[in-house]
Amino acid sequence: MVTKTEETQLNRLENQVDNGGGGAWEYLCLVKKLKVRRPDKVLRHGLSILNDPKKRSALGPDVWTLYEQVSIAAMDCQCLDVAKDCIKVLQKQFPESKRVGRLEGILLEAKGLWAEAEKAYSSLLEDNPLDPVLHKRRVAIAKAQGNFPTAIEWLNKYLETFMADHDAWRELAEIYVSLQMYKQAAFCYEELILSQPTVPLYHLAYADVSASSIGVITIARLMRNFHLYSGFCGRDTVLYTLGGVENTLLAKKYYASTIDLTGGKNTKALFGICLCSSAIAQLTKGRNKEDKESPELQSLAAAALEKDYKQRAPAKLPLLTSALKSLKTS
Amino acid sequence: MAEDLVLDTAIRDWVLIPLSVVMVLIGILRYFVSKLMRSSQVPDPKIVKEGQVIVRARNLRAGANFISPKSFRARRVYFCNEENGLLHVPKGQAQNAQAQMFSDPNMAMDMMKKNLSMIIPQTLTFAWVNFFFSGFVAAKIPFPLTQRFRSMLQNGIDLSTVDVSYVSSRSWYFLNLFGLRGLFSLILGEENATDDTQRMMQMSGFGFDPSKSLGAEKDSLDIIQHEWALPKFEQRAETVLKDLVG
Amino acid sequence: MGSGFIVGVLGVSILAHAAYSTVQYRGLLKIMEDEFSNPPMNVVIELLLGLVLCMWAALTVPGKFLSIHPDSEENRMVSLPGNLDFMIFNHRAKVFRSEIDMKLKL
Repeated sequence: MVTKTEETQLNRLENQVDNGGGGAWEYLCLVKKLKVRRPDKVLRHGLSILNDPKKRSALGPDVWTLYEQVSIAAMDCQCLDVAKDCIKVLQKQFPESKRVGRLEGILLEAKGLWAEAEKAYSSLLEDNPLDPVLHKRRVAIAKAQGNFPTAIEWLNKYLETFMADHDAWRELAEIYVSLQMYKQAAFCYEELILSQPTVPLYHLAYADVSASSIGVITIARLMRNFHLYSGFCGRDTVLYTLGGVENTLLAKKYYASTIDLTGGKNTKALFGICLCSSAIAQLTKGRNKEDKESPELQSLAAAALEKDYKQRAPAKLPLLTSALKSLKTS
Repeated sequence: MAEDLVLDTAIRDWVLIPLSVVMVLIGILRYFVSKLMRSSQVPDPKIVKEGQVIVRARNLRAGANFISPKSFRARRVYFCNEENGLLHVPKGQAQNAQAQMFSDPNMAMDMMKKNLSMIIPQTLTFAWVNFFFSGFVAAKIPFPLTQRFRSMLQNGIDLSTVDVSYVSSRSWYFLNLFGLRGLFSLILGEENATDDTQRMMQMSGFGFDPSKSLGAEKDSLDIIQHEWALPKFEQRAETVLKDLVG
Repeated sequence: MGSGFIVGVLGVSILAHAAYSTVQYRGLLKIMEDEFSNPPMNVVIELLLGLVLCMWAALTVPGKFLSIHPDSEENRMVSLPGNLDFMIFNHRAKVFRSEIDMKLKL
């Protein structure tokens, strides 16, 4: 999990390293610890360390994990020569290692030789049939080929044994979302919430999946119009789909819990509250209001949004106010 | 009152220091021997799966209030139903598990190796200490102690008049045996410390039955009361936002 | 660190002094052949003072307190880690070659 302080620390270090200040090794360690994907930076700074014999020897045995990190980053940048050289060095040092064998498989993947990579993984699996990473790589192969049904099949098979692996659950959820299979994705997100109940981003994603279909158009428009700076946007943006009053109520509850867990600093959750409230009002129009909804939450969320925009993006404030007004009247 | 005993410096040079050095060396030797003998055993998929099921069920129990009642009930049925629930252990199988564990030759072999690497050096060193150094007063600790420590510090000396702060050689051996763990973790790295006390604990834990913990998890999942926490969160979010806006 | 550490040392030395005075007091009692009922007043005061000082030092010297609230700045999660076990290399880097032109010197 990347917390706010860690993020600022990472950005500070990145700035410092990019501008020629020291601390490249600290930066690489932090990237590895936080598991963020910065292949170009890792490649550049990692290579600058590895090519300097003095710095390299200062690392001691840590140099081998650096070779691994750099080789994966190089594959991510499609600099296959560098990756190959790194793996060669590792192979010389650890001739029989399975971890290096895995890296070779990944290199085959990066080259796009799916069948060969598959073969390499299968032969490694024969030695150690319970290596979780190898199973995960097979899923990744299927995914990289765009073969989502197979990827789901592999993942399900993997999760049957390793059912406490939340990374795998998350991957499955994201695949389901990309295939618009929201019901299945909702199940996976429930599983993630169970394993880490205090991570607001899972609550948020769950709310997104289970909110109403009416929201799809509205929120898509909103996303286009506004610059969202909450951390959780972009690729992970899941739109509302399951629909119905019940699911919208559910979504609203989870948006509320996200607000509580982030101290109201997550822009998307605030938008979610506004949208859900208006959708609920629309859906229950004409019906007797049997359940007491908190109307205050919506206005509070709107006020919080306005305050946030005033602070961070004053130019976009008129857009926001008009959109919120249209939400209220519709 | 006991007068101060004068300990020969030769005792220090030929009993106290050699004993400690030998204990450290034996500890290191044992670490490498057990590392050599450790067979890389392939874990049984069934056991891995059972462990994961337990973790997941525990997560469900801990986080139950964060998911809607419908989802919780569905999961509980999935875990606990009597036909093919994940936590349900068929009756006949439960008794077999233990027997199966004992009959597994690999398992028995591993236990043997572990035991051998622990017991043999211990008995040998104990015999060695007993043979050469029994009856020595090897050291004196610099602070007074009560009579209760006599059996701990003066093992092998049957004199009730000697001040308790004197340590007999056999007791010095025992002190080293149990007290060198910190040193080993310094020499061999944190997790490699060969720790006899811990290993003895593991010994008693042998015969651990996964089906039993599955059953226990099932029982506690069965009796859990589901109380959805999310409606409360709406009010909490309201107060959070009020603070933020106001 | 500096002042807190000095306070801690002071507290410990006061405690040590209290212990020393108690031992002395007991020696005195032994000579006077009295029963030990309770420690003298100045030792008790010393003990309390030492306790307060040590506690204060222990709370300040080792480090700052961190928040345990999930919504505090230190704990607030802003993004999930990249799911690196499942990373795929079939992305835009294939088309947009990076301009890094470095080689590993062997």
